Amino acid sequence: MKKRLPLLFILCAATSFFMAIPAAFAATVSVKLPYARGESFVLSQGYDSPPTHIKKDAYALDFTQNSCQAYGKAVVAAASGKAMFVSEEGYNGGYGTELIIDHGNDIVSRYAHMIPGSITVALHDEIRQGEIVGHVGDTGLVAGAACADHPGTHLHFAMDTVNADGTFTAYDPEPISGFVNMTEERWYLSDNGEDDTNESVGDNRTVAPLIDASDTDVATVVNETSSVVIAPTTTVAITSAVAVNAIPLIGGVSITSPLPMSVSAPASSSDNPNINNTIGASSTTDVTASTSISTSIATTTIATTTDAATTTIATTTIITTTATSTTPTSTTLVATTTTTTATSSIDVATSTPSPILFQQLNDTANSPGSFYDDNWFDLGNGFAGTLNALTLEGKVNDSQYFASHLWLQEFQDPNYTGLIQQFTISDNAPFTATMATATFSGLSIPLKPYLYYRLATIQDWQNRSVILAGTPTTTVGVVMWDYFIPGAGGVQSTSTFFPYMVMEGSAALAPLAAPPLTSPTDLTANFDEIGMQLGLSFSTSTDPDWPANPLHYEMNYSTSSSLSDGGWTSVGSIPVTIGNSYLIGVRALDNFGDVSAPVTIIWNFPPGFSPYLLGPATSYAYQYFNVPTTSTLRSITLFTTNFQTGAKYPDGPYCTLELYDSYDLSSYGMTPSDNSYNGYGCIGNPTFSFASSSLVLYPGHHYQWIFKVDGASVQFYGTTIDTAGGLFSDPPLINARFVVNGDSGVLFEN
Amino acid sequence: MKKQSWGGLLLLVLIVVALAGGIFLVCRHFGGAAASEHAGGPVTATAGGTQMFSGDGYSLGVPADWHVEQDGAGKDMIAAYPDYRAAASSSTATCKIEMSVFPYASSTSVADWISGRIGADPSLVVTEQSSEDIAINGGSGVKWNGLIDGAPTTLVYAFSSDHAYEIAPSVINEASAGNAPCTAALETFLSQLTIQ
Repeated sequence: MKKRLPLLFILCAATSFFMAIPAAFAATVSVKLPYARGESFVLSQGYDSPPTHIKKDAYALDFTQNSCQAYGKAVVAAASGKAMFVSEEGYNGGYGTELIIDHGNDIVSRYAHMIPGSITVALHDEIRQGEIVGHVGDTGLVAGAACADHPGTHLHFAMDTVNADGTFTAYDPEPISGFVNMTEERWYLSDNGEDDTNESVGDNRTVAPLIDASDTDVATVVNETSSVVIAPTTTVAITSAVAVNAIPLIGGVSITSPLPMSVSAPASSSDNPNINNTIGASSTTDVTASTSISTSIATTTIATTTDAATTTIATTTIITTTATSTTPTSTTLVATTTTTTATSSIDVATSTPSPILFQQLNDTANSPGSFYDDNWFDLGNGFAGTLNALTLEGKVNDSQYFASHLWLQEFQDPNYTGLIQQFTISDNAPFTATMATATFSGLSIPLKPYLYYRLATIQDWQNRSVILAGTPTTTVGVVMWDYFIPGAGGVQSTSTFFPYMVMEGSAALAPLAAPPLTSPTDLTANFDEIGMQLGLSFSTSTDPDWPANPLHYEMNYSTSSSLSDGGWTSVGSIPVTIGNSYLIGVRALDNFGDVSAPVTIIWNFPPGFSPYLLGPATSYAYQYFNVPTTSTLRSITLFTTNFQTGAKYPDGPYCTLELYDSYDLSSYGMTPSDNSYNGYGCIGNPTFSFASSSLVLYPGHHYQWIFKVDGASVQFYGTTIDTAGGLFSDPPLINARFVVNGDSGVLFEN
Repeated sequence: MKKQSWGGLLLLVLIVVALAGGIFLVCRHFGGAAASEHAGGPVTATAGGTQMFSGDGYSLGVPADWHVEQDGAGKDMIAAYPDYRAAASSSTATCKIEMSVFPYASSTSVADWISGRIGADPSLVVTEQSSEDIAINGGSGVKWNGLIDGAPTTLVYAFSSDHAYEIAPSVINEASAGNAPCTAALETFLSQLTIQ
């Protein structure tokens, strides 16, 4: 009897027949834990443990939680694939409600004992890694007392390879989410699924530090981690995540951890001795190569716990970092945990000083303006921070004045063609015919240094312009206006102009790079066997700094190990030649030349694939089949094409399908119920659907379908393999491909 | 693995005493009401110590001290544990009888339906050893014996005009994953099952 947790005595149902545990399969699948990100499950039964985890289940893993906590929890796909077998209920050899996912390369994964009816995918559905596929239950052959109401609740997860004869052999799934040597009674934290654990940390981060434009010695720090999963008893150097690239900070470091953690500066870092880090509210530590910063959450605030699964303690400690030097340098922090598992994140956060960053006073000139025009001032880029208030001096260019609008417009590009959004500073700016100063406060407009801003003014009545007072010198400012010439209409003019303006809470920073476009994801190649080409499907990208920006996509493919720079074209179909493997990439582009990193996959022909070839023209064809089980006929799909005409009724040939039952000498006439064929013009793969059919097919009966085309001929596809004595070109088309589907699935496939 | 408990010894003593005195003993030990978990169908308890359950086209009575779980996300499933005591922290079920309900058309061959159901999972190796018709209250039944992945397995199928019921007794212990030790409990289960 193997040692088990007292309250988690779980035995699983998986029985098996097959023999040896193979070595790791050559074609690998990236496997993650089969439950949702952020969830911890304990391994209640591991590898090669009788009576159930043997033979084809020798690499099976049973996961559960304390008491009934696991019951109903989401089961997620360990890797992407396609639903190969779905059973919403029933014994199923002890697996109970179960799902088998085909990951390609003859590798499958099994999720068993789920709640009846809880499986969220259907047979043949494409499934993404991390997608919820069902919910943990206790169906089938299970036992255990941890969960009183649902005894034996656990998730049975196993992977197998499918042999040529259809049998299954255990497959080593490790590493799983980076874990190896998975051990009973250990808890494992999942990283499978969408990563949203860092949202709260990200929300704590303010935008770039706000500095005086004259301080050329200060750069910016905007750095945050993804959620960092710390494996059991592993020291994790989060060097890239919390590398502080530009010191000094005006701000600090925020650490969020549900478990004890310490943060230190390693001896190998290029440290800045001129930085004082105030930890919490009381202590100050100078970060040097030998100094360890222990946050208060390390040992005092949170007691050491051995049960990560039931302890959720979120504590945030702020290390306030202030500069004592004007020399930028860098440092590296290392996060270390000595506990079992933790999901922690470290985020460089900044505080917000209150500078006045863009200030031009002493007005000496007025901007141009006239009747019937509006005015706008291109301010350029490099503004970072939150615009809290704006002061400017202006007047309406008329003796009559009405409500004036003042907008700050945000553009993607230096040519001001891509308007991202418009912030309203005022819809009732108090401008009159007399030049006066107006302050607009309480704005809270986030400014991004890589975007371009325009100050626009307009007055309601006859578009009288708002004249702004300007200064003789500054670093930004171009004024533009629609100059009205009677008889000639509006003429757009520009000139250099320096508006009298004070912007509070902004900074004239050097432009930072815009956040890159995200790469497309979930790239899948869909094989058109007859057309011998691939179609691509993928999840689209996003443009972080401008979500509404329309994107387009390019593809590239190669039979070598790399993609050529010049090979990118618009996404379309990819012709393939049998025998080749293909490296396929897809990338996103926006309208301003930004390009995402590509997502790539390698595509191979299905094992044993033979190309389909056209047979001769014929006016009819027939084929025999029988069925293994009693089932109601649902459809017959013929892989054929009409080379005579693509037109439909009334010009196209009329297609019929007859089904002949040699057992009772019955004959059934059928036409496609799919309106796209309407009985005419049999192009492509006609599917004769019988969704409401009551025709029951029985084992032991001999069936023959006869496909006829009135007044025309038709070509069929068949395989190159002659297995039944007739050549492919023979009229009976022995090897013409067709599929018979019943209400229980595929009944016959040639 | 079946654990010996003082509760089990107490039960044995009580039965002996009850038989000796000709006293009908209502089987409700461990000091409480029957531990039943049900969410799918109505349940009632009778004075005779039987819990009554119902679902899609069936009604079922089981002894009051059996643990019963009846739920499912849109599927009718009921599981009965004759020797599991939810209130006892050390209790572990050794026998479980799980019944799943499927739609069924009476025009379908019973034999075909059973073989399709047992062999639905493509990974299973199924060997039939025997199959016999049995009586089920209100319908017909078949008891199937064979090997599934080498494990001795008994499955019972009951058929009404529009439902098929798969009744799977199962046992987990160190020696075998077969379900033969559930035989007596299965007979009790079947005798109290009525289908329409």
